[in-house]
Amino acid sequence: MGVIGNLIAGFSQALALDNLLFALIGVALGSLVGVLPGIGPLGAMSLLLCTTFGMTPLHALIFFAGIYYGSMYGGSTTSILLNVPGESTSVVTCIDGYQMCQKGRAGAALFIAAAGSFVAGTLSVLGLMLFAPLLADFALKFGPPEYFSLTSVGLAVLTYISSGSKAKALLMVLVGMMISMIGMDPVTGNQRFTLGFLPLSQGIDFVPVAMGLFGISEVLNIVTSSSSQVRIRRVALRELLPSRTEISRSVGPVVRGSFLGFFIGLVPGPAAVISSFSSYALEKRLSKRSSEFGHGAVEGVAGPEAANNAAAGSAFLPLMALGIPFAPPMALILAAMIIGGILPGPTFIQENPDLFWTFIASMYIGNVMLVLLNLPLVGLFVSVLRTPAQILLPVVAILCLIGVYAVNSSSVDVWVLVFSGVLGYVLRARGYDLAPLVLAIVLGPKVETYFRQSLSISGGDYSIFVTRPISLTIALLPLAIALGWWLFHGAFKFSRGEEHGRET
Amino acid sequence: MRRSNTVSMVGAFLILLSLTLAVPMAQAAEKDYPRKPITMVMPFPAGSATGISAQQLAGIITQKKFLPHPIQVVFKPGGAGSIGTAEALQGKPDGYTLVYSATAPILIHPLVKDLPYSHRSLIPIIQTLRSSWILSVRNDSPWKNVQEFFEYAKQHPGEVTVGSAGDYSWGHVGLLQIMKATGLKFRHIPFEGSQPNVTALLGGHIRASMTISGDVTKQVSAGKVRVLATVEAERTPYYPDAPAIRELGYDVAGTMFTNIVIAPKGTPEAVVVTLHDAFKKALETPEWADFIKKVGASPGYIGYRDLPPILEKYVKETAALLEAIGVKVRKIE
Repeated sequence: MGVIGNLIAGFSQALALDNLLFALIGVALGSLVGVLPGIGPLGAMSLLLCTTFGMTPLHALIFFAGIYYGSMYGGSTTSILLNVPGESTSVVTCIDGYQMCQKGRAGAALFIAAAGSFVAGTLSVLGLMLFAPLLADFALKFGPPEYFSLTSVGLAVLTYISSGSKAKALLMVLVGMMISMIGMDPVTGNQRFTLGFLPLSQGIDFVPVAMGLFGISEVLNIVTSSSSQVRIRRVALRELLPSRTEISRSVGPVVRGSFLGFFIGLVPGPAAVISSFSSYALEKRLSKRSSEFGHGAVEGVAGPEAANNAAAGSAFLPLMALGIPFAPPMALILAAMIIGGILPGPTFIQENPDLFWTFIASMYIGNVMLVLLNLPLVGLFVSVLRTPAQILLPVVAILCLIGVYAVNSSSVDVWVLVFSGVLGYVLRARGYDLAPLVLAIVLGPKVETYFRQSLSISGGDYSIFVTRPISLTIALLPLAIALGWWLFHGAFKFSRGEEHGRET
Repeated sequence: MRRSNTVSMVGAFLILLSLTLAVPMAQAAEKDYPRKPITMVMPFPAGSATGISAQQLAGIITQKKFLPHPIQVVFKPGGAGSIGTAEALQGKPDGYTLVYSATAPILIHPLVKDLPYSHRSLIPIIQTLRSSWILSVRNDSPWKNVQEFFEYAKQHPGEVTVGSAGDYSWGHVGLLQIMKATGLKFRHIPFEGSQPNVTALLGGHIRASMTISGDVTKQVSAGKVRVLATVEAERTPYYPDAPAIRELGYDVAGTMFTNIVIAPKGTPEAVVVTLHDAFKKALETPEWADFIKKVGASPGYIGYRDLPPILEKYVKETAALLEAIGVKVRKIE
C-alpha cells in the first residue's frame, strides 16, 4: 500500500465521530490557550495529562497534537491586537502586527495570520507524511556544535531584524543574555547572580519578561501619552478582510516561511522561535519595501506566523520517527502516548501504521477545523479594540498579571512582570528595540549550554565549531548571504551610477 | 500595673486554652486525614520519566479511591529537581504537600549545592520503583562487549566521551563509580536531561551513554543501540545478555535510580502510615505492573521504616566518590 492508500485508510478512521471529536476539542482548547497570554500549550497539556487516563493512545495523540498546533494559530492574536505576545513564537509578530493594528488593519493582520498558519500547517503535515524516516536521520546529524552555530547565528540575526540602531539592538541582545544567566548554572549547578535568593535560582522566565516589556509597557505608554484620549474606532466589515495587495504580498512570505519553519523545526530546542524571526529577517531582506518593516508590513506577519506553524508540524517528526521528543510540548505528547500504552521508538511507524496514518489524517482535518474556527472569530477579536481605553487597559494589565502567575504559580514572576513593564517603558522611550532582549533571554541559555557541551566533547578544542561541515555551513551562511548581497547590490548600484553619469 | 496584670492573665488563659484545644485537634487532624485533596509536587518537567510515573500513581490512587481525596500532581521543575523539592519541603508538615522525587535532588544535590534541605531533613514515605542503569553504545560502534570497550578506553585514557543526564545526575555518579573501580578515565559530557543524552548517542556525537534502562528500550529493539553492561549488582531482566560490571571482577557498588515519595520533616507518623498504605496498594495493582514493564523499570517497593538507613548509606558512598575526584562536598547535618 502506497502513501495514497495509507492516507485514505487514515482518513476513513480519522473521520470517525470519536476521532473528530477529540481533534475538535484539542484544536479549540489549543486556540484558546494560544490566545490567552501566559498560559501556553505546555501548561495546558501538563494540566490535562491526567484526563488522558483511560483514553486510547490514538485519542490522546489526536487530542494533544490538536492543542499544540492549535495554540500556534492563536498565539498571534494578542500580539497583533494588544502588543502582548501570546507565546515566545509570536514575539516577532508584535513588531509589524501591532503596527498594522495601529493603522486600522488589525482584521487584515489576523486574517493573514490565520490563513498563513493554515497553509503552513498543511504543507508541514505533507512534509511529515512524506519524509518522516528520511529527515529523522538528518536531524540526528545535528549535535551540540551545530546547535551552537544555529543559536548563535540566530542571535546575530536578531540584531539585524531590529528597526532602530544596530548598536542599541546589540546592547539589548547582551542584556538579554545577561538576564538569562541568572539562576542555576546549567552544567555545574552553581548559583549565579541570585544574591542568595532561592526563587531566583530557577532563572528568569521569558514569559513575564515578554509580557512586561510589551504588554505592561504599552499600557504605561498609552496612559502617559499626551493624547491619552484614545478614540474608539468603529471597525467596518471591509476592514476585517485583507486587501488584494495585502494578499498578494503575503503569498511569497507564507510559502518561504513554511519551508524555513519546517526545516528549522527539525532541530531540538527553541526551533519554533528561531524559525519565526529567521523568516522575518529573510522577508525584510528580500522585500522591495524593507523600509516598511517595523511600521506595519504585512510580510512581517505572514512569514513568521507561517514559519512557527510549519515548525510545530515538523517537531512531530523526531517523535514519530525516533521516539525522541525534541521540544518540551513533544515530551508531553510522548507522556500521553505512554499513559495510553504505547512507547514510540524508531520502529513506531512500521509497528503502528494505522495509528500513524490516522494521526496524519487527523492533522489535516484539524488544520481545516482551525481555519474555520479562527476566521469567523477575527471580527469578534477586532471588536475588542472598540472597548474604551479606560476599561481595556486595566483588563490588559490584569490579564498579564493572572497569565504570568498561572504559568508557574510563582509570585517572583509577578514582580519580574512589573519590573519589566517599567523597564520596557523607559527603554522604548529611549528608542531601544525590545524584541532582541526577549529573544536573547530565550536563546541565551541554549547558546551557553551547547557551547559548553561542545567544548566538553572536544576536550576544550575550539576547532570543533569549524571542522564539522554542518556547523561550519551554518556559521558561514549569514556571512555568505551578506557578502553576496553586498557584491550584487554594489555592482547594481555601480552600473546604475554609471548610467546616471552618462545621462548627465 | 493592673492593666498589664489583666493582659498577662488573659494571655495565660489563652495559652492554656490553645494548649488544651490544640492537642485533641492535632490528633483529630491525624485521625480523619486526609480531609482535602493532597498536592504532590513534581520537581521535574512534565513528560519526564519521573513525571509520568508520578501522574500514573496519583491517577491510580485517585481513580481507585485508595484515599478519600484525590492526589494532584503539581509541576515545579528547575535546577534539576532541587528547586521544587526545596520549596515543597519548606511547606507545612501536615501531609497535604508531598514531593515525588528521584535520587539526585534528595541524595546528591545537597552534597554539592547550597540547598535548604538534605536527606535528613525529610521523611521518606515509600520507594515506588527502581531502574537499572546501563552503559550503552551505538550499534555500529566497534565494541561488541564491555571488555572491548574498557580495553579501548585503557589505551585512550580521557578520550572516550560518555554522556549523562547532567552534572551530578545519578548517571554521572555511576560513571564516577565505574572510573573508580576500573581505574579508567572517561570524558564525561553532561546533557540537559536524559533525552538530549540519548539523542546525542544516536547521532554519534558521543561514544557511549549512561542511561536508565527505559530510556533506550525502543532504540535497542530497533537495533540502533547496544547495551554493554549494567552498572548494578545484578543483570537486569530487560537486557539479560548485558553483564553486570561486577561480574568482570570490578567492585562497582551497585547504586540505584529510584523514585521516592517524601514529606517535610515533622509530618505526623499516622499521616505517613496512611499515605504509605495508600501508595503501597497502588503499587500492587495490575495497572502499575503494566506501566513499569512498559517503561522498562522494576518494582522497587521499600517502606518508610527501611528507607532512612539505605539513603544514609548512598549519601555516604556518593560523598566519598565526589571527594575522590576533588569536588568540595558540603557537610550534611
